[in-house]
Amino acid sequence: MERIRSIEQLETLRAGILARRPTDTRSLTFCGGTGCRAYGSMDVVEAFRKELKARGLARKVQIRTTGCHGFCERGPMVLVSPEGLFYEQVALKDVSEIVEKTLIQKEVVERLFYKDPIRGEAIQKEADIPFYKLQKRIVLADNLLIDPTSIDDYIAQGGYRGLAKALAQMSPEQIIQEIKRSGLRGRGGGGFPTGRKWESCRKAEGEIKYVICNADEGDPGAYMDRSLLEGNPHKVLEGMIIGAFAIGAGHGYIYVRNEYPLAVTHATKALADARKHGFLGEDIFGSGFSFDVKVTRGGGAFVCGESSALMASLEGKPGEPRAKYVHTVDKGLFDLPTNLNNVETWANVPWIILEGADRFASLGTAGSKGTKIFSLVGKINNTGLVEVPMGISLRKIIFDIGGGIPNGKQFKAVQTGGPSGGCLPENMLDLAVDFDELTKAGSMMGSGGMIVMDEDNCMVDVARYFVTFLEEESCGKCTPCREGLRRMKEILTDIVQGRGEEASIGRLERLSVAMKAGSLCELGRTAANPVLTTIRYFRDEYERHIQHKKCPSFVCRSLIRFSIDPKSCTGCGACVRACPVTCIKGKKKGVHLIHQARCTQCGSCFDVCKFSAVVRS
Amino acid sequence: MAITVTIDGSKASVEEGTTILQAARDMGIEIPSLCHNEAVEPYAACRVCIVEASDGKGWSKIVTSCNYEAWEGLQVSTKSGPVVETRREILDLILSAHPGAKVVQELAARFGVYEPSYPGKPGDDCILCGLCVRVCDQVVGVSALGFAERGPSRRMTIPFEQTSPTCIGCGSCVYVCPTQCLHIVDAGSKRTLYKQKPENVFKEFDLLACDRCGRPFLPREQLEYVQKKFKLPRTVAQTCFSCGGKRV
Repeated sequence: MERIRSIEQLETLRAGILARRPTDTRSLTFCGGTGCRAYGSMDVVEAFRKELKARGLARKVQIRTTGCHGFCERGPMVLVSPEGLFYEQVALKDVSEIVEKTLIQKEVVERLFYKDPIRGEAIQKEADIPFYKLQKRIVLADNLLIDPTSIDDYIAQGGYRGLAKALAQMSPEQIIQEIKRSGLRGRGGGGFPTGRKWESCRKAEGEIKYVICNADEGDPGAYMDRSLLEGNPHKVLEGMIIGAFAIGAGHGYIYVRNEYPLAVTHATKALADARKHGFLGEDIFGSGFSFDVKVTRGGGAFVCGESSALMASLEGKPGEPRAKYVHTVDKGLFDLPTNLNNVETWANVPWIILEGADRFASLGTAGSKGTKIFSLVGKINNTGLVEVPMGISLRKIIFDIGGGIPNGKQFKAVQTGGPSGGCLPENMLDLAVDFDELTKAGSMMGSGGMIVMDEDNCMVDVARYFVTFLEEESCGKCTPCREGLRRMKEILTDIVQGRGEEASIGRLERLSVAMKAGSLCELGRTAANPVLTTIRYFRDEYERHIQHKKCPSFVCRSLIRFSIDPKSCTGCGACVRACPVTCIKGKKKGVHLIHQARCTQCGSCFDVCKFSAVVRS
Repeated sequence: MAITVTIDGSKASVEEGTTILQAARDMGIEIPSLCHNEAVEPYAACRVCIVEASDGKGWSKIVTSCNYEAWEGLQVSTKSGPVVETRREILDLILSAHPGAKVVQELAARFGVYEPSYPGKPGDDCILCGLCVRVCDQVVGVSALGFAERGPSRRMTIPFEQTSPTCIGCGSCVYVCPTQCLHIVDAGSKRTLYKQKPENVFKEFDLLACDRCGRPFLPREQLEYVQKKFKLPRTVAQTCFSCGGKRV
């Protein structure tokens, strides 16, 4: 492959790629993201290949496997172009029908259309599905269009044009000004203005500087960075190269969790292809600027997402944070000036350079510009990745895009910002989602996790879950985080097991204050958020647990009791068969009885009883 | 370059790069700490040395004085309300986890914590201050101690829980340990380094016998380390100090 040395050469290459693409074929696009792969999407792709070959259509129908589309709830999915048809939850048995009906007879397979969970109507085209229609995708858009292992696909979509523009037409200072003007803030959690960070790192003294892409995403239920790096690694890389040029860095690292094998593979392939094209290496675009990137795999410690811990880990030391009174832009990796941004931040850069800071800044709110990707999970109809302009309301994300709560249940809370974010209640659904509003509400943007909870979630149990996660993931270096989380977990465990005391809430609040003020890094400083917000917005649930020894959501096993209402029991025996500890006795067609001492409160009997004879109290 | 800082209302001129803790101690203002020792790099793990830093114009932050470098115009309060409250809670947490550690008992009592608020049994006095680990690495230079696991399971131990090939039995870790949970005991021709309980042995050493008086006096590893470090001839220091010591 010839190295690309100018904008003209890039455009010629792109024109060549587009010219080689057949225009008269139809195409099938499959999501090859990790979620859909887990559903078996790659087997479906293989089945289509075989079927097309068997029917002599292999040359007439193109098959493309792309990165994550974000609509993970409905995978595996097939997009039929040029019609734009969207088939959901496609199984192996559907393959021949789709080929026969849609590709040969030009008909649709109605039963595979998406059905709107609220209105119940079937929707034919992807573009009409509210989940996609209501999003504003400037970062994720290409995930649906390109094969992440093909640099040609990326170039065909206009890839590396931003880099070409930055290197050929802009000075490092101009790039930094552009990023500053765009208002881009770090998408990894801190929300620090990206342009200011770059400027400080550029100004920092030192010959050798580094840029790092933080792909150590570790929040439970969050996978936007994973899907970006898996689905569009060149976009992340292009952002890094532009940033490195602006900062004056010669080396870069992508620090990615080893648990993201597809991201590692795709990033590694992208680096090799970019090198072949001359986008990495010596004298990029003939500008005299040289830069290269390595992929480093992390061991999956949550705390290594913290920048100073990540750098320690990169150096081969234990992943423990250090105080950042001296900023990492001055003394970072190997004590040299280092600029770290997360995957999504880097992926925003090419768009800003190409489309301009003004266009980016026209999206969002006064303090938070552009879009943000959220991973919408939990009790939600449309589980998936959602990219929306900053400032959109929680209600729009959860009910319009997310399709609301499954099984007609009542919304209770949404947890934003990962394990150290906060839980926001129903009366805050109209909150405009941006960095500052979320912080004001006691939560945070974090890296964009959004866990929806319904009436069946106990908020004390939720707080205990997150505190347990953070306790396990705390590095244990500083006292408030290590000991504070341990004590918080003890107190919360006492509460959910019926040993809560009047003073428990006050104790939790005192611990929170000390952890917030006294911890070494942000993990400890923010760890109390789930506890503080659940106390602030769901205090009554705490009080019911502590004073009445009751769990209003019937989650905390120690506080619930199952019994059988003799009036409703038909003696069908379903509960007897479901009980894992055989503690239900009764004659056939006679009233059954639960042996309380042996009951583990698992709720299996409650779930299977068709006559509502099993009663929770 | 000299800069002016104000600590608890008193002004002082200090060199740029001086930490708040150093400046305060130079001024005779006491800030408590458990994990700090001037011989090694600040670690900021115990968080007992927190103070409130402010610019006098509205910005203020709780910082650890052991590693926060003073800047021109910096104002520090070592006993503001939030500092005292947070420090008390931190000391309470340390005391609860290590109720048997004397130095912790005394320091906690000075800040009004006489009884731990959280349940715990005496037994493990190691407060994970990391002084032994840092001294072994930065002063002695053998890195024979480290930490294992994380969160509340974190503990100070020998790397990989295997007898360290690099430990020279010098005892620096024992001297520097604020809670005295590390011990070194010489018995006959054996030296033993252990943590907390005699059965928790980190390493046993054979002591070399003096070639004149025959008394055991030095672990072989220590002699070899010193010989290597100072490039001494192999004959040096086979004699104990009482019998004439280093020169042959």
